[in-house]
Amino acid sequence: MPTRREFLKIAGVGLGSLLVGVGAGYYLGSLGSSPTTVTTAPTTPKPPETYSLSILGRDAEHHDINTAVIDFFTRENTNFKIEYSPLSYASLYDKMVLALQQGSAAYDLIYMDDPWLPQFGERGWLTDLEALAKETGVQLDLGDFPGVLIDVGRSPYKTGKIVALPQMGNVQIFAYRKDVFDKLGLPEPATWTDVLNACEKIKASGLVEYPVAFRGVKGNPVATAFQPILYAFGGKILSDDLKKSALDSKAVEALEFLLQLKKYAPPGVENFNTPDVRDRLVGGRIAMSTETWPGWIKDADNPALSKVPGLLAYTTTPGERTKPSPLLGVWYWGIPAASQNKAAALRFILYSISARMQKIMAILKGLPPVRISVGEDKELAGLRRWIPIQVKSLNVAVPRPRTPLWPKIEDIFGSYVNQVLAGVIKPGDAVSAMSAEIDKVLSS
Amino acid sequence: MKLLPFLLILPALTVLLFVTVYPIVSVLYYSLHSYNIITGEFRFTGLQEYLDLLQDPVFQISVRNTLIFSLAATFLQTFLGLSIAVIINQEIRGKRYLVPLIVLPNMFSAVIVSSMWKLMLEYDTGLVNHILRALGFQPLPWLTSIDLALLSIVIIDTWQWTPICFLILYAGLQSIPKELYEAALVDGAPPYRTFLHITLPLLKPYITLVLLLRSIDTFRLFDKVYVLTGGGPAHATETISLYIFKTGLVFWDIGKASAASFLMLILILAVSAFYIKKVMFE
Repeated sequence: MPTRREFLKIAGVGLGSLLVGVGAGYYLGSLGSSPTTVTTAPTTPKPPETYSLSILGRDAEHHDINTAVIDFFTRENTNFKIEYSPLSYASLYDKMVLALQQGSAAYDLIYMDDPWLPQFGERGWLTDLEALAKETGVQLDLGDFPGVLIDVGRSPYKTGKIVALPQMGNVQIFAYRKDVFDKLGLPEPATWTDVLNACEKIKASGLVEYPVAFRGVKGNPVATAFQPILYAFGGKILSDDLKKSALDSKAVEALEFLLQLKKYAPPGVENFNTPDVRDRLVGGRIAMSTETWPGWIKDADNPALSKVPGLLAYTTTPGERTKPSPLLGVWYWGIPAASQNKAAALRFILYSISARMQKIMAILKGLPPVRISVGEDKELAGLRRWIPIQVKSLNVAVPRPRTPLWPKIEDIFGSYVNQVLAGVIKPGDAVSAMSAEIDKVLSS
Repeated sequence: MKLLPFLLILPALTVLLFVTVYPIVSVLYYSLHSYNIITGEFRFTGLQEYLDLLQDPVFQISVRNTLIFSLAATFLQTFLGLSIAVIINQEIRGKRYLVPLIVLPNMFSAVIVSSMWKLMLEYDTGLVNHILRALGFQPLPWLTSIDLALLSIVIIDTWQWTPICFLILYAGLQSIPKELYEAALVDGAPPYRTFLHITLPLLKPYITLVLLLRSIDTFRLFDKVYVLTGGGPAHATETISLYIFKTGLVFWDIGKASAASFLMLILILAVSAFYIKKVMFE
């Protein structure tokens, strides 16, 4: 057993050896490394400027697609850090209006539904993207987009500066059961009268539970579902100068047609919203969906998620007196006027809407592309059968009337169409009443 | 020293001023203006927004629906809550397991409850119509019929909120001295007379409290309507809260939404004044 004195001696020697060893190692190491340090220090490249972007966007499939784009972008541009805040439709709109109205710089990029653009554009809440591109020396390639998409992104509509660029090419298409139509020898519906005739034959055959379904719930859903029928019958909601209602006898006729269609729809169709129609379509319980959005059918050919894989066919929404007029529901990127990172935000937008990224997202996530070249891509058409029709529909699509008062007008319109469906009011009376109310809103 | 009580309540009073008085004054101020965030309009219009509102047929329907819903749901929930409380208050086996089970519906959020009931009330595939068909009845368009939609929401709200009425009334029943019932039993009083002359009078403050709480809460009905019907079919389930939400946060007509909110506050105060008087001053 060592004494206390012996223990202190051993400890002192050990500590001294350790200090000598470390000192010698440092000295020898520094001899070897000194030339490298001297030569490399001046040539070390300056780290690239880092950017931090904050995006206010939608949840659900939009979130899935947009975060995948962000993932690609930040891998290829490691000096970018992007934060995406997903919100539901109504919450996104509320938060966006409040942030823009207060001139908040909290968000560098916003993801907008096209009906919001007249409101945001008119108030000067969005950045002029053409001017920004010019300022930053970037060329905007707009030739590959359907003209209407660029027109909608301008403020004022068609004639103004570009304040938004399209990202998700949502547009109404018409979906039907090809197997049922083939069995009954029915042609692809080109007019709404064809649809009604098909309804009758499908009902008589009993091949499917119900021939048709559409969204009938009050407000935006039924207003959106009914517009392609109204336009095909030659009707209009607002006059061209957006100053008064243009609803007339054609609207009455279109509403009477809707009531005819209702006879072949499931009970309670006046309260149907997206899940009610979508689930019946991919669940094989209806033969036709008068308005179908790409997001509803992106997995329709996947046997794990659909009961009708390979059985659905797609076409543009039918015409009647006039050409088919599907409704546009495109989502756009915009940069708030108060953003502090406009150039970096534009760089992300251009990456996101590039043909390469649009194709990748269409394959991976079922993004409805906004570029004509992507819509014509043969490889893509084989993987997502609806894409050629979707891009074709974009070319003939009709945007919602470009007035900031549209939400209020749509509510009135959607409320009366729902009342007609519910049997509370006759089509003629509904058209007179909604015209009077719309005129009141427009004149106030 | 005289100032001390006031100093002690000052922090609470300050918080109250910010969270209650300021919003009310602010709503009143905006209600006297035509203010729209989207169009940027902001001008003093006096009582014009109130006059427009009172002439708006949709607002009139929403007031009528709210009153019908509030009265029906409040009284149904109080009646059912009282009935269950009286039954559970008896000497029955398994009471300790029954109470948590009864309270269970109130543990879910209104959105979850609404989504669940929406599936159950679906015309073709819903559980409720499935049961009706199995029993040989015709299925009913619970949420899509103008006549049934509001009733369906009353039923759903009753399912969710009766447990709270039960809990308050059960606590009230537990507080009644047992000796009173023993004395009534000795005197040979039949059960219904015991209920009418002992239980009900002693339970009155609790019943009033339940009526007050439920009438205020049912008056604000929003989430269930938003999820289940969106105010339709037609305007069959339009309520004041939904009207305010759409006017303020969809159309951004802050002036009109503020006027509607202020009118709603007056209506709630009018409805609850009676109960408040009973609870606080009697």
